[in-house]
Amino acid sequence: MNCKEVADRLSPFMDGELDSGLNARVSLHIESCDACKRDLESFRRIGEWMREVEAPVDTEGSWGRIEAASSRLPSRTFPFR
Amino acid sequence: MTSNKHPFPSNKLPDRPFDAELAEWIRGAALGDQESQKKIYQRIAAQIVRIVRRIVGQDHVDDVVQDFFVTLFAKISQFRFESSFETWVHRTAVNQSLQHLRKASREQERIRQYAGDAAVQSIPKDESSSREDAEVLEIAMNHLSGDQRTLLHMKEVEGFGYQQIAEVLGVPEGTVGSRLNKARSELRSALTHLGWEV
Repeated sequence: MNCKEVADRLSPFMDGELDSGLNARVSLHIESCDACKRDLESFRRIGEWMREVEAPVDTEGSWGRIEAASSRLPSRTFPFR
Repeated sequence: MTSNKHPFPSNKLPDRPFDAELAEWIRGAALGDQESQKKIYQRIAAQIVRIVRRIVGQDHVDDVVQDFFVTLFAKISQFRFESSFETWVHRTAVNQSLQHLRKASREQERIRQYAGDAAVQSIPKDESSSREDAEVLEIAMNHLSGDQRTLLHMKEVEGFGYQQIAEVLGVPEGTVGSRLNKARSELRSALTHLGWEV
């Protein structure tokens, strides 16, 4: 497997979405290729960074507005059997 | 009181297999029962806020999230329990967010036509004061399309698998990997241009 073929599969490899055969071939290439290893590491760092900087969400305050807006809608008939 | 911040681990799919409690809330919400609606809100609000915020930005998140929940409760009787509720609500939230972006883009174009380009140029950010990581990421993310931001958020923050991402975005599962490759590469390029080493 060459660098181009590995690059095309880098995200599925990192995300654990390749079948075991392909996974092993990509892994084998990356172990011996510094450029592909760097690409993989940069993808991983981006993911870690996105999770780290994701601001906490506080949803407590918004329910009142949504409840008021929803209550102005006409009531529904029971749709399930 | 139960905290509704990050109510479940990001890589879990809480309604697979379909849980009876959620099904009751959905039926109640369809009847207009506000307690059921509130339970659903508490269950999904944090995830919905995160993904909407990632697509439309902090300034518009409150309005879009409110519209989303009002629409959700108005249409919840259409949910048929044949698919994942989580996927269904995410698809609705993503579609509404992307619609909001398109509408905002058309509005900006209209203003540009009447007022000239200078009137709608955003004020350049002071680079030295925006070195907070979250701000840099926000700037870099704005170089990506709404679809790409959605894709990256679902994978990296919410921990969705490719099948679920494909269902939410309405794209073939086989294309998710290449789309993620492109989005990650473009985000990396944008970060590099901002002076970030990744």
